[in-house]
Amino acid sequence: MAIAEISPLTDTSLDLLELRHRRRESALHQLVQSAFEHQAVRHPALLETLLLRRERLGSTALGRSHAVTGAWSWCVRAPLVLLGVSSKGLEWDADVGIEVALVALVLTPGESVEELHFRRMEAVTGALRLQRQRQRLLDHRDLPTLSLLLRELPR
Amino acid sequence: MSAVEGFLELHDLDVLLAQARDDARRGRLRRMGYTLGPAPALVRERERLAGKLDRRWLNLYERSLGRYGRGLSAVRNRVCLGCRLTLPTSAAPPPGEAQLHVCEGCGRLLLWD
Repeated sequence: MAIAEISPLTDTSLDLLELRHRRRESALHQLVQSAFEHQAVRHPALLETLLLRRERLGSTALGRSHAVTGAWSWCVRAPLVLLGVSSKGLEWDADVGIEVALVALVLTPGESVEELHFRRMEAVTGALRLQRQRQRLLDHRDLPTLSLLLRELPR
Repeated sequence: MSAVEGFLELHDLDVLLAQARDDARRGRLRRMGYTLGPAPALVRERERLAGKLDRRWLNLYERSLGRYGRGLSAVRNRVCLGCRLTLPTSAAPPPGEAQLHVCEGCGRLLLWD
């Protein structure tokens, strides 16, 4: 009997990228452009506007070192979680002087129910809550570490 | 900005406003660690945006928003993702064109994929 070794399928709903800029608006732009390249977004400019409006409603920085933002929108084609890592630190909330090193963008398509988006947001905020988890991501900066951390993420 | 993009933006703004106003959603966001500020600025933005949109389409959008909580739906493979009705081939806009349509089943404005 032949035994075939089947490699696991690549998880296309997660990605990790290095953020080049220091400003929040530029970081969000880079994250949305990356989502657009993943073909997970249909109107990147509108999605960016939505994320900036969300920031005006209340900062998405959680604590002093990371931010988790997201959108449940018809502008999103496919579920995707992007994690941006900044070596230099991002000026997320300039008014209160908050700098973050990790930014997660949680995208849920409009055709999904809102409950799923909340559960995805809860999974990501929960996974990044502990300092040691965030430090592990900053140390490794690879997809397997991110996949392991977000293994409970509803898809 | 096209009419389709205008309604997409309005829809996103309505979702954000619902999160800011609804106690259950606010509570859930608070438990995640977020603090939401007051929404009046968003309400003003909504009024400004709605003022730019065609009144006829806006009435249809707001009627569906009141009835279903969402005034817009996407179409995939000719199926309205709001009510699952298969739409006639003739309802599809020409390739590459974005036009507003209303679902014959649920009355939501349609976003053709």
